[in-house]
Amino acid sequence: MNSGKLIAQIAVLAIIVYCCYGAFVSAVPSNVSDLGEVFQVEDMNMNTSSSDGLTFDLDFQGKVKSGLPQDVEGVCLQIAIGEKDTRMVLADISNLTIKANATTDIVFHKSIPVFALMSYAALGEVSDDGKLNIPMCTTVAFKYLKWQGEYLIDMGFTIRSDMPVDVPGGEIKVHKEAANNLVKTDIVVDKGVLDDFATGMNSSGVDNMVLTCGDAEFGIDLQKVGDKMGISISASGTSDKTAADIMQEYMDANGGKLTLTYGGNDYTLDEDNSATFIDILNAMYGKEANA
Amino acid sequence: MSDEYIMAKRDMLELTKEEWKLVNSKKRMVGAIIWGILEYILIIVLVFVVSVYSQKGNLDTILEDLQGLTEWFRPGGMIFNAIIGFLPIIILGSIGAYFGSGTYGKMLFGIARCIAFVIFINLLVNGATTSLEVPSVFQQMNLENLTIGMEGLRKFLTLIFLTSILIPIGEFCGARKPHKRAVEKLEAFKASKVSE
Repeated sequence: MNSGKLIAQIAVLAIIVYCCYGAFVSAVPSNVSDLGEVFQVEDMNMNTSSSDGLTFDLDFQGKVKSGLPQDVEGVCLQIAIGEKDTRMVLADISNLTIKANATTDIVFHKSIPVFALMSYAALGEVSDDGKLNIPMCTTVAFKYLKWQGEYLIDMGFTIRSDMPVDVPGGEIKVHKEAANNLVKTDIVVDKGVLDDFATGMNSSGVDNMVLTCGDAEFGIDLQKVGDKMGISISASGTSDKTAADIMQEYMDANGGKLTLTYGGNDYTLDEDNSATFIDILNAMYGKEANA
Repeated sequence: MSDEYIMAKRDMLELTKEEWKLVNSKKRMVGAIIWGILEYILIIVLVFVVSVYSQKGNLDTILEDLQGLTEWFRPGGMIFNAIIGFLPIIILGSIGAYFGSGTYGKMLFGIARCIAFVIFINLLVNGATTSLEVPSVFQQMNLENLTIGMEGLRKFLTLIFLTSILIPIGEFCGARKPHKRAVEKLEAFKASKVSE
């Protein structure tokens, strides 16, 4: 038995406990009888509305009641649609602080042009059981337990859930023309998020829209196929440039934001979503023609 | 002198298991080096398996997947830092095993090992650019990725290993006298063998 080693081990333990005790004690709630009291989300509400069928408005309201003795900092909440490389942000709350022992309001509003969401009808692969899966991702991040200027708990995670869209035809038809760099995809959808968007646009009297950006055109054509909704998405440019190239040039010249014009109105996407929209077009051009 | 008397005398001089820990030993060092190499191979395999699993969620095509992680293998990448950074810890542990408790050598190698751990942790965190991304580990749970901030953890582990320097120092102080006694006994044992 080495008494010197034992004393040193006790000393090490004492130093570590001494350095961290304060931080832990001030971060862990005392007098908790019910875990639910520590962290509660109240009155959470998410409304989606569309006034003209062309813009998709997302309103989020919620209250977070925290029983934690320290602020939860760097809280980020993001809701996005699409695969990793073509992901469009629908809602983004960043760097929120949830106050200690208080209720924090979370209010959020964002409007996204529906044409951008409709473009997901052109992407992805239809699975063997006739479904097109559109991923919806929720990202949550937060920091807690401050110690020596850093956070011992500092994490973020993304939860993905797939929104299935029934595709009665079983495939996405892709047609290409070289003359004006046209790519056109046809899909028939039955149930799911795309059907909801399409029905919303259709009932607002928009069934065939062509949005322009210089020489580039992006079109959405909604036609009933039997009792199902047929969605046709097309993009075209000039003989030597794709629509994606033209929009990229426009975006670079206009501070990273893309504006498309339809019926005398301008629809502008924010910086992140502009880049994503061009990625979506590039993904469309990357598809093999099969019709 | 009868043979029995010599045998009894030798038994008295023979070092006990506890006393062997107090004197320098080449045999122990060789053992530690062999274990060190095995441990190192195990660490490398473990790092590969964990990194492939965290990227893919399965190990079906591990050899092909390793090629997809080339960025992590480059200097500054996480796997590279982990493998290179762990080397000094293994080497210091192996060579340090030569010295018995209560020697300056054992104490200094013990302190150096703690510092090597601190450097290792910091290398690892720098390689992961202060946050460790663990994509698709739990694909079945629909968890697409998980990011863990390493900055706080780095400081916390640094504190633990820096204060751990006290342990080899305490061991030295506690084992100094028994070490000297064991060395004297060993010398006497060697002398008795020579005189036979």
